[in-house]
Amino acid sequence: MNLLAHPMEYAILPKVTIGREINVVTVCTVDHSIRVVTKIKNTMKKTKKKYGRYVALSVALSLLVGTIGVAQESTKLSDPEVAHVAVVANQIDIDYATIATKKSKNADILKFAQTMANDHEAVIKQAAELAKKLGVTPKDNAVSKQLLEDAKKKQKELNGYSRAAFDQAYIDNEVAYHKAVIGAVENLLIPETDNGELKALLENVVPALKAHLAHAEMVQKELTSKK
Amino acid sequence: MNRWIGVFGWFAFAVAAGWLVGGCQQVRHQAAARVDVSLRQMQFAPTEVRVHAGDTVVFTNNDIVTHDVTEETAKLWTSGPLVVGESFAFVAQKDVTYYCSIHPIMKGKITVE
Ligand SMILES: [Cu+2]
Repeated sequence: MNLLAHPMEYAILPKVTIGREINVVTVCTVDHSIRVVTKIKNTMKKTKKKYGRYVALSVALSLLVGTIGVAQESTKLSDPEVAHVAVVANQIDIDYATIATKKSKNADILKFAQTMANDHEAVIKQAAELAKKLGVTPKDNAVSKQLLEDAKKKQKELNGYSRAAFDQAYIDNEVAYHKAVIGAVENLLIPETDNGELKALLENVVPALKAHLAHAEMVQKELTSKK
Repeated sequence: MNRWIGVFGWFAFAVAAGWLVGGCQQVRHQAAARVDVSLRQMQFAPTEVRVHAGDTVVFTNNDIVTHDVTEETAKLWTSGPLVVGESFAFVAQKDVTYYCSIHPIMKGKITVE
């Protein structure tokens, strides 16, 4: 598992926002570098239009250096740590759903949140059962910690929205969060998991995550069209 | 000569047996049949089934989360939540499109021939 000094910032969360305009994918696996470069190119174009050529160039350079820099500082996650990350990532989405249940009055949002709570609960249950069967105790680690820390910030933010603004903010976050988790599970967790059963469980979860993402995008689209 | 009768006899027998077996299958096909649809990896598999009127389509949840099977256009019927391992039988009389109301991106179709 090639994770980084500030793992969440670079490995799990796909978007780092610089200023208001620039979103950059900074994922450090090899197959992602192409995406990173493409993103950097796009960012340069955007920045150039807005701030001029030299600003664009320096932004792109700092991003590239950052990406290479973090790729060098890697850590390896053990299977108990992978299991812990999986549980934490699922729990975070349940917690977001709990906030939605309290704050939203929108039927689509409420139904989506209920599905998230139920499905992610089911995944946690299976992970717990597998861990028990394998005699593995999920182990806290830097990635889990960072995930939780970021989620705490997001939860605070979501709790702070007015009812009118909440639905959009919640569903936008669901789209972003599922994209990030899919990327992390497919490109980081699965390739580096040693135990076959744990790997199979993670692989089984991916279709659910992808269905959740498509569902979230559907609700997001409906919400936007109603505006 | 006897040998040729023997060969012919076996040939006639084979043809008759083939016709009988084929005929039986035909009959069985026309009687109410059971068609299975598996709910797995957030999909109905197969997504589309062709059946005869009166055939029973059995949906079984082989996934890791709860699903349901719900008529899509007017929500005329639903299986209700199917937990992992649970099945739902539906007798098809006419074409129907259905979906999972829990995961609305899951869709399927029954065509009655
Ligand atoms: Cu479903």
